[in-house]
Amino acid sequence: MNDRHETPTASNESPAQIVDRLLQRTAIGVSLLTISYAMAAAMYVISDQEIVDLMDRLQLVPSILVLLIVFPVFVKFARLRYRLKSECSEADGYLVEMFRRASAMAFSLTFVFLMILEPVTEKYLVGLPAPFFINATLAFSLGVLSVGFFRLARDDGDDESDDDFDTEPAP
Amino acid sequence: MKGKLNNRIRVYRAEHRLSQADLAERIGVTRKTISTIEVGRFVPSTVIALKIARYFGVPVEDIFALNDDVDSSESTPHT
Repeated sequence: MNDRHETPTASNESPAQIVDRLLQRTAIGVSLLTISYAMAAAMYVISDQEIVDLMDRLQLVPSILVLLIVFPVFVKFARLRYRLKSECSEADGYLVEMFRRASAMAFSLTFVFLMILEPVTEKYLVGLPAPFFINATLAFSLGVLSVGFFRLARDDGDDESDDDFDTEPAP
Repeated sequence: MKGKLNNRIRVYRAEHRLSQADLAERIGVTRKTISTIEVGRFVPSTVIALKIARYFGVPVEDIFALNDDVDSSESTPHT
């Protein structure tokens, strides 16, 4: 650990900024996957065939968007990790911590969701195929992860003040 | 432990005439991390705390300290 400047990257972003950007893009990607899985689950309970066909086609859109949004930053991160492995393994900034908390919350709530789903299934959802439950559970879990992350990482405005001390004249 | 962690990063930044972005760049985190630590919204890892202390050339206790009220209640021996 030295008091050195971060190694600048090609786009002049520090490794910490790239890690944060990857996390933000990942959370957006997870939100899109939530929509995709929710649509996949909904197709088993919607009886109108036209709507089901439309949803089947639309399901591809979130997947393509995920690739377009996450992949470029992931490649950048992978290259950075290859060059500066220590920088990435030390990543423990604010957004990393918020992502960890959101992941833990998603895991816990998914467990609760599954426990509630069991009696509900026996009473109201008899006859639905296993893929419905898999898609519904994935949609719930990923939805909690993305909403939790955005809620925890949102800007409240209370931490945005920054004194530009170096502009003040020296006494 | 749920004690509030007080910090004097802002004071040290003022002494060194550093912006949050400058300090963030020097210790390898984002400005968001520094700003959330300053307002007490985020408790930094030991590594970040040590990096900040080392950058300013002071012991980590000079920058980070537990709230006095919490300290005294926690140090009261149980009978």
